[in-house]
Amino acid sequence: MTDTIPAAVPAADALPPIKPERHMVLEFLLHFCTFGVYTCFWCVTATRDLKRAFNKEFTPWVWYFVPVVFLAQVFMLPRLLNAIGDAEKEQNVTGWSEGKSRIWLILACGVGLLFAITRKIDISIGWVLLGLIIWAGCFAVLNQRMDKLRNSVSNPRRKYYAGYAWWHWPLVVLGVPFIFFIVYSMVLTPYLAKVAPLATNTVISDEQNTVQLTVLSSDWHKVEIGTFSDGSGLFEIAGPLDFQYFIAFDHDPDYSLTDLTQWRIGQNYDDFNVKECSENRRFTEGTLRVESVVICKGTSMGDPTIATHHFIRVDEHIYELYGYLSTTKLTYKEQEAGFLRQAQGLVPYEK
Amino acid sequence: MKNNRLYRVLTALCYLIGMHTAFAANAAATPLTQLAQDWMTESERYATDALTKVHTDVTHTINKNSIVTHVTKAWYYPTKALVQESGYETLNYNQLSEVVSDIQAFSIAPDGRITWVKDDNIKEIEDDSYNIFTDGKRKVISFPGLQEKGISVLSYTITHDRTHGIEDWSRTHFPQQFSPVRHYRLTVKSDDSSHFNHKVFNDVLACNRSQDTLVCEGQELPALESKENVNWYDQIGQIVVTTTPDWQGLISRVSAGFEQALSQGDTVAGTLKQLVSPAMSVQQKISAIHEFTARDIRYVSMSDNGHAIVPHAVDDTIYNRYGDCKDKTAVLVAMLNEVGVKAYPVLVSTDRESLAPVSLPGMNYFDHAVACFEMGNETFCLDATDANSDWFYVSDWIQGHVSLALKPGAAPALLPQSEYRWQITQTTDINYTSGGGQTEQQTVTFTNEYASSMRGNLASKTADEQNKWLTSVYEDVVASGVEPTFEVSGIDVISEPIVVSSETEYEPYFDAAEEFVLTEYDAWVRYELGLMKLSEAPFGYGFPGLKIGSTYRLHLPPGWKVRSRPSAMALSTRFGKLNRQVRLVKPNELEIKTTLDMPKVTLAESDIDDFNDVIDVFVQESSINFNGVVE
Repeated sequence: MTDTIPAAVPAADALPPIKPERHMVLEFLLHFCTFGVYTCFWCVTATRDLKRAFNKEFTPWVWYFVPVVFLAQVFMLPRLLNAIGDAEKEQNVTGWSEGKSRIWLILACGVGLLFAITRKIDISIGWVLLGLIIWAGCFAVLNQRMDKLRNSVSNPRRKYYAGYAWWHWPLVVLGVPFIFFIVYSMVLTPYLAKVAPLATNTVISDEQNTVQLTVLSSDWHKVEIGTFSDGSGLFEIAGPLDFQYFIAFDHDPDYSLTDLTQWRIGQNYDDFNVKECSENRRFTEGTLRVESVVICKGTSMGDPTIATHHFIRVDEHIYELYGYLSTTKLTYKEQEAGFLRQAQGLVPYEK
Repeated sequence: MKNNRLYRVLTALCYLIGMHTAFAANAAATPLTQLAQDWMTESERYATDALTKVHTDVTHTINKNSIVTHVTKAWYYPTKALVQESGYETLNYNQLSEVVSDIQAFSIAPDGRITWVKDDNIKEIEDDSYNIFTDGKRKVISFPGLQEKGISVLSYTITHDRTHGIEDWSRTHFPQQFSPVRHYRLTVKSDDSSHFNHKVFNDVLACNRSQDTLVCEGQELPALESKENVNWYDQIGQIVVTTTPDWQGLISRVSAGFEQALSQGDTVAGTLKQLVSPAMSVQQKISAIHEFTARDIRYVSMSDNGHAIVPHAVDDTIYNRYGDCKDKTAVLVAMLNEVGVKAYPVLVSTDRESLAPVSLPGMNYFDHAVACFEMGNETFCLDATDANSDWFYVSDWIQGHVSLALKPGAAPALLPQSEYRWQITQTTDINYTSGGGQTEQQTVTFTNEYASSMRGNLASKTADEQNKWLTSVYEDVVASGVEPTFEVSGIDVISEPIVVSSETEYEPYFDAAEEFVLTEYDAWVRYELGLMKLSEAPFGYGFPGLKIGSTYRLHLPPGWKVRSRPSAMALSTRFGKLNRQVRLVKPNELEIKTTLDMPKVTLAESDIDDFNDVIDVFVQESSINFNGVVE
């Protein structure tokens, strides 16, 4: 694929157009704010330019999939670097040292591996964002190297507007604030909202001391009310995963248990792709008060997702422990049993 | 024998003279009329709205050959309505062994005017109550001249001939009644040191006992309040007086009567040949014998001529194809023994479910008989007067009642009770239509005691009457305003369950455009639980046991999809469990299986509220709620 073919010397305007030079920061933003999706297009463009301008044997469309498939990255990215290096030699352009290339490969493939793992195992969004920064940085740096190489040939450049093609602009203009919003809401806010870590067997209760919950495992944090709810929660706790939390609610006494369970089930159907919901009723231990556990399972963004609702009666009120977990398959399997145990732990406050 | 005859003639003469004397003395003042005037003087102190028992004085004089009972009773009637309802007295006696004499009866008006009872104010009728061990008669005395704020007075003597009949003499007195009692006195004495024993249950009166005399007396006894779920014979204060020294003596004397009946059973073997074959199992033979005695020998009571306690000869009962409980029991015992099942007669008290008041030996507790036998570790008791119940469970109306097995060494015990007296399984298929209506196929299977009860209701009805009755039951249990069609099986064979299949079409009653929310009631669970709820049970309650297996299959039209299923549940309490499993068979088909399991239990008064709470929760949770979408 990367064998060198003897070059002909056609007229400059007859040469195929290649990508214009772009500032490293602009390149970074494009990779970063599209969550790496732009990298697929970048790979296609880069290999096409190497083929057109430097006679390197590439099948550019295949490279669209390289950033998506980790194993492909392991084999293809070194070939890309080799082809760039060969072209640099042919054009007498100073390239990267072997060490620099290796570091680049390690970083790019490492982040590729991280992304591959996140599809199976839940990794905090903070780490994923950090990986995305490294990924975007790697390709911004590589693009700078490609720009230097492109500058060594006289091929015409495609038309860009202030550094971006026309369709790049909406991506960057919308993507940059969106990614800041993600960082704020999913990294900063939960981090700042964490009131206190909860040790195993910590008992938390509402302000009125009506209901309580014993935390069954470590890595949970009590968070500020409103972190996951609309502010109407009695207390909220966050699990070690980004989408893993419980909220306690006090419901209007006018609603029956059946009203509430059916309402929640309907809500879950609206919130994620529910495969099935089931409800089980039993007595609150030592009483004749009926409590209910509703479990809805399905997927959200392709990830296994579970919503739980444990309703208990205290006096004339119905209280609910609402639980939500959405994570990757492997992490879900590991977390499900413990989550379900925790989900059924709401009890009347014990003085 | 000669002495006995003489005694009876003399007694009859005394009776005639006594009656004559009584009526002759009508016009003159007597100690009793004087007493009555005194009671009338005090009448302003009596209750103004309730019948009041002003005076009760009972004296039993126990001698070797006779027991003379003298009774004086007086009632005050504050209103005209009470005069209308209660202006009579009833006097029960055994025509074989007892003579009534010295009847003095009159009413006294508020102004003191006395109107005496004459012959034509007394009506004598046969006591033909179902299941009794007496050759009874009753005199009904209607008080002439009785008016508002008046008093009725009755005094009489009953002389019991101890040399007649095999029953031992015993009486249970209930001083407290549903009317206030101002004065009650019971005296029991023996002039010749004849044996008698007594026992006071619930300290209703203060009693003093010397060697030969017992005097119990009470004043101002409050009226009992009428309450539901009370077996008063088990609860109210009572004084038992008996001349029977021990249960064994009573058992041997009553057994002798049964043995006499059993000794004339030459036709038993021949009759059995038509009922059973050697190829039949023991259980099949028992079933055939039970069915013969219950269904082919009709209930007719002929308790006179010395058959108050002694059954008729087995041959006579088989020949007549009729008999009362003890006659049928004797046939049962004879036939069961003939096929190798060691059966024995058992006396039953249909009014009593507590052994506590049955502390002294006496025949007066018992009014029914059944045949029992042991098989494996279980005792089976067959009631040959119940033509609707199978043999392997005790007829529901006498389960847990006080009984006395007529076998050596026996003592009063409670008859066996089923763990679940009421058992039903039901399967309902509901097909909803896209227009919001439904068709329903329901099959309800009543087993054991419940089958017996249903059989009792259905057996004597015509097909039309059965349909009407089943429709009314359907309306009570499931829904009204529809016209179900029924098919019933199992009515004629007492070993089979009663199966009632119905098909019902419901007009559209809900509108499902995009979404639907539906509620079905688990009809039989809800209905039976409703029946079990206790309005009150001041002395506790013997819950008979209820078991229901219910399956609902709900079929929605094509394109309808269930989103929220009915809740599964496992509700367990100390009184029983309500469990439910839910299965989504298809996106538009649900199967809901519910089991209600409440075994028999004796509830103390303090348990009643908790029990009712459990019933309420079970009723509430028995509904089947689900919703979905129309795609």
